[in-house]
Amino acid sequence: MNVLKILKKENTRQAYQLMSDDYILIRDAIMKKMTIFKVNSYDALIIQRDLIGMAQEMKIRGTTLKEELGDSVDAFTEEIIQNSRGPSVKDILLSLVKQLSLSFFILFAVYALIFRRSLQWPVSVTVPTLLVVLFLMNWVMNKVVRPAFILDKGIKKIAPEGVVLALLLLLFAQPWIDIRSGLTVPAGPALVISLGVYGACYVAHRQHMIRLSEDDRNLIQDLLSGKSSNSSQSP
Amino acid sequence: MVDRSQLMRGTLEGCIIKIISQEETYGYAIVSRLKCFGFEEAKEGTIYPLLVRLEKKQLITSTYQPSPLGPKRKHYSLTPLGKAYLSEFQQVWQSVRNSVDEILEDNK
Repeated sequence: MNVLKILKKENTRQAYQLMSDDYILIRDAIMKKMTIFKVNSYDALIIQRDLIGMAQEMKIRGTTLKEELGDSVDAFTEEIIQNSRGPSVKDILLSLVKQLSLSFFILFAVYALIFRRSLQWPVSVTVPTLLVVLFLMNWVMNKVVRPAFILDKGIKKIAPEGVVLALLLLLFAQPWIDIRSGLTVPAGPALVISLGVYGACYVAHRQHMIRLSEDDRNLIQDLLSGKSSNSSQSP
Repeated sequence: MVDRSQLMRGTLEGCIIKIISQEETYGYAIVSRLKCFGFEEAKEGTIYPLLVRLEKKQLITSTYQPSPLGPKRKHYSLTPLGKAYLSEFQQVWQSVRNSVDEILEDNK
């Protein structure tokens, strides 16, 4: 049983039925803060399902989650984060490597096949290379680094900028590689390896999710069994 | 001025557990029960994080059940650990209440 797929499918189905300001609130203001660094992947999906369900019920009762939470969205999110099960190192690593390897594969494949039309080229800093690196940096910043520190204060709040600075320094070190002649970018092996890493992480993460859901086996079965009623009866 | 919500905060967990111990129930019904007993400021947004915590502590467990309003909703029931917690909470609360009453009624 692929718990990840079942829960994601259920959340998409329910979110499609909600389609209101509440869905944007859940997606952008709440779930974005529940990153892989703060809540384990399984709990995050269950929380998302609960919030969407809660918002759907409120909509039928003539109110909204947004009205209910008012100005306390951040406090509500922080409280859920603190009260839920945090991720294990394994969970963080698997999620992170899975996302990064897939992004690397897609970006590298597009660059190799469209810009270079080759699976091997000499190492050099070119405009497309810089664009790809900047795009990747932007993705890492917005999807991984910034959400991880979104609720933090003090020195931790500026951690994303520190990561960008480190990545820029790496980028500036690139011309030094140019000096060494004869180096080529092995795009073929890089693509095979990144796809292999993604596949391995996907399978391992799926197994990990099954283990996380073992205590809640009935919860998943409940979601799978039958269809929920949508009539407008009183609660 | 006395912050009523802050004062209630610590006791809310015990009250939620007591409500769940009476019958298997869901978020909105818990909020309605709390309001009946004077917790006017109780909202689903207030109690959901507490329910997450109680589940994490394995004091309550949940199942999804069909709802007449929208998708399946989570119904909560008490675990044996939750029953033990409730009994302990009742004892501690009695003791705290007695102590506070004694201080407030002390006219010496």
